[in-house]
Amino acid sequence: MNMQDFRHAADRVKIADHCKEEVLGMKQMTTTRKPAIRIAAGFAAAAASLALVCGLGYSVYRMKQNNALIPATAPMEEQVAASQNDTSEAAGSEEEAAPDDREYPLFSRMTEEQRTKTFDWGTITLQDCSIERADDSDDPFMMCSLGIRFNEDEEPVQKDRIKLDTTYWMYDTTQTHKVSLHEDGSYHTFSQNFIDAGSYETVFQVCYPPLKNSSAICLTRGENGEYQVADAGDDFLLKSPDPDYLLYEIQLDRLTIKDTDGNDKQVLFDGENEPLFKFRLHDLPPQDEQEEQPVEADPDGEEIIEDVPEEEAVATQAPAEAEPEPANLLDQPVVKEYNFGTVELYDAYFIDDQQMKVRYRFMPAEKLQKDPEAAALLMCRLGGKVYDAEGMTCGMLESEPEAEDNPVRISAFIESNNERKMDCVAFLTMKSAIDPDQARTLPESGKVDLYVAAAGVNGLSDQEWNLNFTENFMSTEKQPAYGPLCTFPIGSGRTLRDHDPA
Amino acid sequence: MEQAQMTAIYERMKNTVYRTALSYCRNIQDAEDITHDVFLIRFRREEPFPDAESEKAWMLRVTVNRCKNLLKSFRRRFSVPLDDAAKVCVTDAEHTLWDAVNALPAKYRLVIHLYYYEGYSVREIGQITKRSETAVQTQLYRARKLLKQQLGEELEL
Repeated sequence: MNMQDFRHAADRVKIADHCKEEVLGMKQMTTTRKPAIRIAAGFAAAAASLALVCGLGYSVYRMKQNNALIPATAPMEEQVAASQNDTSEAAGSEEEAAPDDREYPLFSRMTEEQRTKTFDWGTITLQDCSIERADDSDDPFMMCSLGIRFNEDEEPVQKDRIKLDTTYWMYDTTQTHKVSLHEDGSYHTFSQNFIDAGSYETVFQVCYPPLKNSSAICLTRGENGEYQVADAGDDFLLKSPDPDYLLYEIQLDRLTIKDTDGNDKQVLFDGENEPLFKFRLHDLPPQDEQEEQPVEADPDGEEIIEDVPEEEAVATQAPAEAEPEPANLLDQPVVKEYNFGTVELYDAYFIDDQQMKVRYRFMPAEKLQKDPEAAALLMCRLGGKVYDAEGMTCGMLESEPEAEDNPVRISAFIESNNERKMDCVAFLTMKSAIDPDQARTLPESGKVDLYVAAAGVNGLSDQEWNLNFTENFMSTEKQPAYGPLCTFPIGSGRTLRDHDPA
Repeated sequence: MEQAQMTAIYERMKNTVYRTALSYCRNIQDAEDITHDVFLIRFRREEPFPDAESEKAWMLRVTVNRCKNLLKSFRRRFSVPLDDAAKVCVTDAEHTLWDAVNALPAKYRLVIHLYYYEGYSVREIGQITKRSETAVQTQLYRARKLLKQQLGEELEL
């Protein structure tokens, strides 16, 4: 059985003949009746909007009546407690002790230098890494991108194949996991024509965990999107209660260029049991507020955080406080409770002059977790309001439509696997406050107010949602019902990613 | 737009649009409605396309948007999909695979359809669905994973 069977069946799918008349007759109908249709559509839209507002208002009212708030830190505390219990139970029973957390820099704070390993033939860069959760899948899923760039004087490797043997080490506080993908050689090497002549850069996407009969290593050419998958031999699932807090080592065992017959042509890298990259994806579980935050240093002892200039420090605003209290979001998460749930913002940074990347966790209110009908009416996402140096609104930040998990549909993950939280990464793009289709550039200086937006979703198209969002959050006359989650100063067009501590 | 021009566009694109809508909605009535809407939007558009491929990609993009809107709608949430499309299958293998693909979540069905049937590359699917290439690759990966879980080793992708 192969996909040809699907094509054969799909080939037989034909639209019914009667549709032709209806479709071709439509033009005339809508031309002659356009004003009437527009009026009717206007009334329908107005009625729908009214119904939606009433419905949403009633939902909010009901939630307020029931005071359905969940403490922001409760699930996290339980999780940390569970994790600590596991640690104490397992202590001493493992042959290999868990490594010191501080040896592992936070991925989002790794400098370019830390992410790049240089060899005489070129460089390997840890470009991206994230834990993903399919909304209809059970297992968490790690994806990493390794960028491999060859020196310009290297011979082109067109029509050669690159074989990547990789070992992953993952540590949690209870035990050490090791997965090796290369021992039985059961997975395929990669596509021919993998690297085009004149192109020396390619990206490996490493999917983790590998699953039986499925792709373990996904490869893509950097620019042209050539895509090949390789099967893995081993089956390994994340066993930690929360994979976000695992520590990762990516060990590249061997990187070779093979000729078209599969023979080694050049060994680019031989790992010798030394991890190529060591990092953790997320910050450690939030500590109790009374506890002192551990000082983090990168392996070289550099205090990255302190090198961040003041103008890039992130200010937070507590709901009840009139004046924002400047604080660095990079140091600690911002937590805010809403009647529909709790949002914890972990990371936020400008990645270029148009985009901001935020990582946050959303935990729906207990009421919503128990009431799928109410949950189905809501969705939640982050958005921002951008001000220029004079304090005038000059645009808004919106999550990219391609981000599958944003906006967060509250019902989706409640129905899926009783998750009580959802971790999200959103790319917020600067757009016109008047026309969401118009891209804008962040001002040289000013500030961003980041909001958590929740609204009814049923029946709303993307465009309607944008309008809804704009109306509720971007209006210069109306202030959002909730204060901003936090405020970010925009300074001199600099970004955290291009910030060089030196 | 002239009637002859509209007819030509319809004849050229009808099944492509309909198949994509059907693969997303799994419901003949919805797929027909969406097809009507898409052609209406197309006929209203006066600007010419540089080539037929651009027109096709544009129409598929509109189709996908329409499908998404429909799936978000309240009515659709509580409707029961009809699997009449399975009538198109002849052999057992076609039936099995068709059912497996149709059992995938909508977003996975779409990328499988566009990739394996329409023959689009990952990059093109990204442009049509307004997703990054990485996101499309991830969805293809997950879709294949699900298909293999359902169908086992006998499936060749």
